[in-house]
Amino acid sequence: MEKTTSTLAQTVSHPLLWIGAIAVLVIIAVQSVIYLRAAKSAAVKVGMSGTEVNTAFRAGGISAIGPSIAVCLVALALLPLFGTPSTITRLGLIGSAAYETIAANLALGVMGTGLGEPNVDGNMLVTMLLALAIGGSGWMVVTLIMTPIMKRGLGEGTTTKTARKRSARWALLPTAALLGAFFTLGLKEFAASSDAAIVFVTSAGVMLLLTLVAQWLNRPILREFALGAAMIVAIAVGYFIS
Amino acid sequence: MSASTNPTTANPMADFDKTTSTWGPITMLAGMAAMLSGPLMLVAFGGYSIEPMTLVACVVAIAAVMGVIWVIEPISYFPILGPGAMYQAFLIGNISTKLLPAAVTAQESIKAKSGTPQAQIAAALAICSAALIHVIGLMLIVGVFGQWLLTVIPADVLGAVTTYVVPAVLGAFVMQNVIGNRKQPKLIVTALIVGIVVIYGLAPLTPALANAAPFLGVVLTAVIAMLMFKPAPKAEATDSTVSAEAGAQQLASPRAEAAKQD
Repeated sequence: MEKTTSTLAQTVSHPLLWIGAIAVLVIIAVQSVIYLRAAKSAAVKVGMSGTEVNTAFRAGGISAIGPSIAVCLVALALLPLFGTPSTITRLGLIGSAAYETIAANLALGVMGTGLGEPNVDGNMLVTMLLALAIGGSGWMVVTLIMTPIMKRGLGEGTTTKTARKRSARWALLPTAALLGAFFTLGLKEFAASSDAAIVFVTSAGVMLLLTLVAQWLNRPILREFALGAAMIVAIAVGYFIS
Repeated sequence: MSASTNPTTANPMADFDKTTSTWGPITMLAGMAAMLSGPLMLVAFGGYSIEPMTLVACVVAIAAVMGVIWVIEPISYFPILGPGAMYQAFLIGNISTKLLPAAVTAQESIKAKSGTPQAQIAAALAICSAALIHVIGLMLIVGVFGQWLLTVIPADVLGAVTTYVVPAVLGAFVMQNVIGNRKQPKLIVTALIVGIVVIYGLAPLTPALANAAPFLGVVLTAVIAMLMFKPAPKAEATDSTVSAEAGAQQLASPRAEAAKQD
């Protein structure tokens, strides 16, 4: 009976989105296996022992567990907004919870609404998801185009000095652009309401605190949890003040 | 090319490079197709419809604010990752928070000297391992237990998550950028002043200016920064080196040497 007006919950957990999400995970796994086999055969050529190969593989995996849990914690905050399959797709691939949330809000803003607004309909949501996917392709397209070009640059014997000069030319402008973008976006949220301002400041404070504590205790792993922790604490504060 | 090379003088990484420069782009394109397939299938078979012009406007809005990251990140990470790992890193992301720490940990675990093929292989193994952990984590915590966790969490908490997720992300993310660029305080102050002027000065004037706020933030900060920091021709070398080091500082790793030796 509700077939014509499916709810947003039905839209975001649509089986077709699950197919895409599972395909994404399978492709990441396949890529890793291809690279793993190539790395193992290269290891034999340079005389690395099997123990060394296993140790390196295990160490890499263990150090990735913390950041992976942090990413999934952040993902839980996105689940009600994006649904399970799209959360897997968006966070499984290049991008971040912060990036995706901001991009989603920008896309919905174009359609005259915003994340969590009651007037978002299924078509808007699908438009947003497609816009996010195209946005995520941005990094991949640049990587596919630039990697062979930069590889050739390396082959032509780029010296450290010229490489540094070149990267310096790229470095200032994008840093300025990024800071400009995020200070403006942040202040926009800050100015929206006093509750939002408190949430914003709390989140920034937790991030600063965890970064300092991580440095002080020399525990870089704390930094991997910092964004997830900052989000959770800030949202909790928002919950209690509203 | 590598087949005609004398095996005794050949780079031991030649086969690895060949495999990754073939399969890297193929798997990355496949990942991109899979990523686009979900929403596209909803439009094609799911009964949803989208306005092409609205979609274009959404993508333009995202690109205007975020597009600079798409270009800058691949260029900045290339010297550290080397060509092969680029296709892994920019498929799955989490580069500075997951992949690079994993790579360095692995290199330390086998005491591989930086710049050696061993270091490069250790990093490759670690990134594969990290990628598999990434897949397992998402499958279990988000895919399997995610919805259960959502049913356990009360509705008003979910409401708070929905309401506050944007400021909660932005507060931490702005702070992260401030910390990451703390060696460029002039840029941070410039961006802060531009943000205040745009949000409290320009945005209230008209809705058009309010919508263009992020773009104004980018353009004004970039222009002011360029005018302020434009190095004198003679001082260029010193200035560039300093800012290059500031920019690369967080990414500095033994792998940078490995990439250079390719």
